[in-house]
Amino acid sequence: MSTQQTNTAAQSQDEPRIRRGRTGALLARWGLSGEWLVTAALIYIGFILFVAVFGFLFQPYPHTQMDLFNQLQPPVFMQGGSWEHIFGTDELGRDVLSRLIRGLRLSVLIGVIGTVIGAVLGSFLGIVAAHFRGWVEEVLMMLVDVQVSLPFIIFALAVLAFVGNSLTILIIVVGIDGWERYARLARSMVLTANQQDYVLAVRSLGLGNFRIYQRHVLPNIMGTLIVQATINLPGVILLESTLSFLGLGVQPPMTSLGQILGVGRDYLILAPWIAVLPGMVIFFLTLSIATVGDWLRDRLDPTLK
Amino acid sequence: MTRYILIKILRSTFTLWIVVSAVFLILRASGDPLYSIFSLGTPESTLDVFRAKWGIDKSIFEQYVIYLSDITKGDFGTSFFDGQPAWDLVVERLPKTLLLGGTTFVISVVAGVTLGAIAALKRGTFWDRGIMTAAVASFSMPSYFLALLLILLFSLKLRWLPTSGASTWQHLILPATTLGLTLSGSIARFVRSAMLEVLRQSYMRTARAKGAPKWRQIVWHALPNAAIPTVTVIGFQLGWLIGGSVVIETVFAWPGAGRLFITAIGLRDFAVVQMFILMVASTVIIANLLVDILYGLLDPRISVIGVKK
Repeated sequence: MSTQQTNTAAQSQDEPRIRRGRTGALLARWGLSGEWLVTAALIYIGFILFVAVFGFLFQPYPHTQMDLFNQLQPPVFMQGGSWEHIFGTDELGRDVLSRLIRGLRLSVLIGVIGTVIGAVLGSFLGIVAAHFRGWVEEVLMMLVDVQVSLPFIIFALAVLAFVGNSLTILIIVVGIDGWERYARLARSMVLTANQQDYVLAVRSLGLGNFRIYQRHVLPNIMGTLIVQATINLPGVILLESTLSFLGLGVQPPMTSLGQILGVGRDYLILAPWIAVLPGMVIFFLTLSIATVGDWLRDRLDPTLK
Repeated sequence: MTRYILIKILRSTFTLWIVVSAVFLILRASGDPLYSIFSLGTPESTLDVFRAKWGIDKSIFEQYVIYLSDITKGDFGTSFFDGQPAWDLVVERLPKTLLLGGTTFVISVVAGVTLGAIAALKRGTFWDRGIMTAAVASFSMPSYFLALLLILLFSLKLRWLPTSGASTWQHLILPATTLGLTLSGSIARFVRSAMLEVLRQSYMRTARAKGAPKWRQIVWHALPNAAIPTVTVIGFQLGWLIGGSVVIETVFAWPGAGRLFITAIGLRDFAVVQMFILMVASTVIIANLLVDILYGLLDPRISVIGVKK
C-alpha cells in the first residue's frame, strides 16, 4: 500500500515537469499513469473481449471446415506458410485462426459465466451464514472445509468423467470452483457490517432483512467481492482450459482454447503452432486479468492484501 | 492445547467423511459403469452376474453402508479391471508421486522464499518489480502449456532431456521444474508480503539499532517471523500441488498416482477413483491439521486464543 503512496508522491513531485497529452490526461484520470503493465493488460483484455464478441465477423473459415489437401500447413510467419491460412492449419486442415476465434469465444464465455456463478453462489451463502449464525453458519463453514480439502480439479475431472459431459454441466462444475472464497469473504464482511452503525440504524428504522442486505450491506461489500471475482477469473479460465486439454471439458464439434491445445499436443514436433498459439492467447489473457486484478485490489481495497 | 487439537481432529474426521460420502454418492448415482466395460449387446444375464459379483445390484444406500463398513476394515474395494485391491494399485504408484511432489516442494520453497525475501528487501526497485511480475506470470501460465513449451525446447529442439517416463533422474527435471515454477511464484508473493509486514516491526529497528549485521537481521530476526504466515499458506498450497501433479503426470507420462487416477476415471473404475480421492483428501486434511498445530507451536499467541474459543 505504501508503495502506492510513495509512487503517487513521486509522481506529484514530477508532475509539473511532465507535459501530458490527451492520452496522458485520460490515463491519469483512470489512475493509470505510470502503470504501463496495467494499461497494456487492459488493452489486451479489451482486444480479447472484442474478438470473443465480434470475432465471428472476421472468421475466415468455418471452424470445422476441413481441407485434407492442406493439413498441418505452417502459419504465414514460418517457412512454407501462406496468407491463405495466417495461423496455419491443423491435422485435419482446419484453419487455426478460425478455430482460435471460436475457441476464444467459448473459453471467455465459460470463464465469465463460471465466475459469476461462483461469485453469486458463494456471496449468497456467505451472507446467509453471517445472517443466521448458529448451526446454519456451522454447516456452511463445514462445507467450506470440505471444498478446501479436495483439490477442485480432481473433483471436476471425476464428475465430468462419471456424470457425463455437456456444456451446461461443464459450466456448473467450473462455476462451483472458488465459491468458498466468496463465502468466507462475504461472511466476514457481513459480520462486521452488522455491527456497524449504518446497519443498526436502518434496522432500528424497521427495514426488512432483504432490504437491508440489498440496499445497504451489499453495496458496501460489492467492491471487495468484485475484486475477488477479478482475482478468481484467471483460475476459472485455467480450470476450463485444463479440463478441455485433458479431453474432459469442451467436446467437439465445439472448441475452446484448451481443447485446441490438447489436440496440438500430439503434433508438437510436426506442427508446434497448433499448441503454442492458443497457449499464448490463454497465458496473456490470464496474466492480463491477474495484473488488473492485483491493481484493482491495491487501489480499491487495501485490506484484502 | 490438547483440547484444541482434539476438536480440530474431530472436525477433520467429519470433513473427510463428508468428502468421501459426497464423492461416493455422485459417482455411484452417475449411472451404470457396465456400459463402459462391456460392449453393447452383451446378454443381460452376463451383466447380472457381473453386477451381483461387484455388489452393484444393490441400492445405492446399501452399497454406501457396505463401502463405509469395508473402509473401517481396511478394505478399499477392488479394481473392476485388473481385480487388484484399489489400495495396492494406488499405494504402489505413490513413491513416484511423492518423489515428484517432494522435489517440486523443495525447489519451490527454496526459490520462493529466496525470491520473495529479495523482493521485500529491495522493495520498489527493479528487482522487486521484476520478481513480482515473474511471479504473477508463473501462476498465470497454464501448467500443461508450460510443460509443452519445456518439452519443445529441451527435449525436441535441444535434445537434452527425455520427454516422458521416469526411469532416470533426468526424467524428473522437466516435470518438477514445471510444477515448481508455478508454485514458487505464489510462495514468493506470500513471502514478500509477510516480510514487508515483519520489516516494519519495532524488533527489526531494535536489531538494526544494536548493530546486528545485515544478514543476521534477515536470517535471525526477519525470516523466522515471516515464516509463521508463510507456513499456513504453503500448507494450503499442498492441495494445489496434488491437483497440478495430476495434470503434469499425465503430460509427462510420469507413472504416479495422478496418472493412475486419470486412467481410472477414463475406465470408470470406481474403487480406484474413490481410493485416490480418499487418499488425496486425507492428505490435504492432515496437512492442514498439522499446519494448524504447527502454527500454534510457532506462535504461542494463537493456541491460547484457540483454547479460549
